[in-house]
Amino acid sequence: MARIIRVEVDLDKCVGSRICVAIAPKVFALDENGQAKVTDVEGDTLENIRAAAEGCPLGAITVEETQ
Amino acid sequence: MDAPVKSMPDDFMAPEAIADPESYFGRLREEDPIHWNENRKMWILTGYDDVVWACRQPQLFSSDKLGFNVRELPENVREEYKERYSAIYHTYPSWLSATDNPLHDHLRLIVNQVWTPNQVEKRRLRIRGFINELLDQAEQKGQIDFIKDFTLPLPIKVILDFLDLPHEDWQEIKKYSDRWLHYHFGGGTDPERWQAGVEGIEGLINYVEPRVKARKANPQSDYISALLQAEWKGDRLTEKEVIVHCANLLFSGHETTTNLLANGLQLLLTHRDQWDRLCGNPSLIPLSVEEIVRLEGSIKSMLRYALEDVELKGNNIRKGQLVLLVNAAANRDSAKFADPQRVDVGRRPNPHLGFGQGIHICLGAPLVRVEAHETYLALTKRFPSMRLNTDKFEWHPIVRGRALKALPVILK
Repeated sequence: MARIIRVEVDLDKCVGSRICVAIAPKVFALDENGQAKVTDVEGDTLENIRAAAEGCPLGAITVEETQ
Repeated sequence: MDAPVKSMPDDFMAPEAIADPESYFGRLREEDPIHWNENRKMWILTGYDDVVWACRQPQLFSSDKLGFNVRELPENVREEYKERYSAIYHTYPSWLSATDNPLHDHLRLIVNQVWTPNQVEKRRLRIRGFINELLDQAEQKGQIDFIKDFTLPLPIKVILDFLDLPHEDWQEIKKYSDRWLHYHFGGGTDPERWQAGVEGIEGLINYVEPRVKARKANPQSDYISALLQAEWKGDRLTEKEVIVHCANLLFSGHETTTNLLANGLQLLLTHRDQWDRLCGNPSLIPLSVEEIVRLEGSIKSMLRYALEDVELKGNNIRKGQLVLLVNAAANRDSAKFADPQRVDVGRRPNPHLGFGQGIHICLGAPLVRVEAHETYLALTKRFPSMRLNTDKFEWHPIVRGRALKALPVILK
């Protein structure tokens, strides 16, 4: 099923807990400052990307889905 | 740098530094932000960027608490300690805040399935109930020690309630936690402190263990049952890990909150204009809590040790050396905060490091925030004219925490 999703990391909130990277390593990586960045929004299932967003202790990740 | 900081004792335990940590750490930040303290044989980092950087490099700076305590022991007593204080050796290696990866991620990702900001939010009304119950009792007295009468019982009741354990047990939990503290903060090689640690840990473990086993045999819709069943990519916590985690929550779930709530009220009442501002505008309370955490958070510093040689801005941190990351000093760094010494309950943005940074970011932060919001909301609403009943404040002589001994107030 086609999907377009937008995943954003709020760098003002991100503290580099790396939880998103551990949950969805093909979608998130750490940048040179040790904060999360999105590398590939198609890298994992939507379910896992949502789990990464919900797992963020700072609520720094937003996920938007468009069908 | 090994350039000495002049004209003050190089000692964060000096009475002036305990009373006013900024008098010591602030000077380091301005004069020697990557400082080697020869007396304590440790590096002290005080600049915002350096503290953030180090927190985000867990592969360079270890949090393995048991590991570095054991390293401090003379080699000939290591085996003896291991036998005599076995409870410490059994619990610390599965304690979230005291572990490195990969173990840390294993624990945190599973715990994260059930400990989420949403779960915490669901407890808000229960927390409000506890707060008002305690304030009703306080109101009867009129004059109280805000710590003994409020900030001590509240967080223990809240964390017990979170675990669906009877909140009437709070005094028992407090007793064990106090013993454990002796080891946890500054345990060093002192046998008495290790012994106290064992008593505290065993007390909490023995309290938690039958309750975890009961949930395992007969799962309910509660936190402990959920944790026993939580799974991350086929990985689960062992029963022992759940027991240690719950004992750890009972311990770390309240001590720091007790201190934060008291430090915050002291800060507000000694800056009356800010207190009045909150009373007139309660919507500022969430921001005010961040400002309290920035200026008077309950964790002043975090201890790590270097896993390898690290070069930092011309300084050579050697493998095995201790590194103290002073978040309290970083929180007053003018490179990051405008007018950093000023108390501003409306400060925004406020990217303080009061809850740490990186993989060890405080698990309990969402819960602390709810407790603090609800506490200050209730206090400003019910007792806007409350005032301090002293102008002398004594702080516990500890380096990693910031804790008042008492906070006498008159409510009306």
